[in-house]
Amino acid sequence: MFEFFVHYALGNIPDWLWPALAGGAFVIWFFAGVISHLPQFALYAKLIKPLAFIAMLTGVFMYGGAGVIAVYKADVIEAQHKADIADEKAKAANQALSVAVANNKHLIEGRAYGVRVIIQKDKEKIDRDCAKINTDAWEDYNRAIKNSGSKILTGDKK
Amino acid sequence: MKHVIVAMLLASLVGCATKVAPVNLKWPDAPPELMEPSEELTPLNPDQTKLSDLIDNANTNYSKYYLLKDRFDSWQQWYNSHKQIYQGAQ
Repeated sequence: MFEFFVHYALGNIPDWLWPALAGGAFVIWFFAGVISHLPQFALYAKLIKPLAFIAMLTGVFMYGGAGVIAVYKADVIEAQHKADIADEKAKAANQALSVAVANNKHLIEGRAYGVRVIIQKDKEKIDRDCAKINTDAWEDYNRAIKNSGSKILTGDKK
Repeated sequence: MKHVIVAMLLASLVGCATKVAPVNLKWPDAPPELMEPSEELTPLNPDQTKLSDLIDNANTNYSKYYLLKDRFDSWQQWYNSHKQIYQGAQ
């Protein structure tokens, strides 16, 4: 119920209502003070004065709250503006990185292809002195290739 | 009258602030190129027993290493650039 009151009722009350309430209550409070000097109205004045004071206090209190909310809202708008700019910058940085990675991939694969062409060209010369690799040699070589780490990542419980 | 003014000032200072809207700062996506799974190194086929085959295989694996190194460096660059952007948004 309180949540509903705070979020929906208070959120939809216009800010000008609070100074109007405080001002109106002040006027009533003031005139209640005036008429309290008249014997025939003194009894009403005694009743009205504290009510007007409470209404005035409520109006000022809520107006103060509205002022604080206005400051918060301005801060939130500024923070959201900064967040939007950061989002745009992040997209631009990602785009630049994406292009750089794609270019480097193209370059690395191109160079590997170039080396492969040279190896094929020099194949006869290379194999002339070593026509057959010792079985132990390629087994050791493959053993080195299979030197991978654990696949368990940080945070995994399994 | 003085008490009334003091009470009003106090009331305005302690006025309740109830609603603060959240700021929507999105977690940045990584470029799809960086999200590709890494490739395993290619072992030497037992049928390929010549030295040229070994060198060719090494060339293939070296290129895989350089591709992976480039992605690793790119991840560091991604982290540093987004950290800088995030800190700028604070």
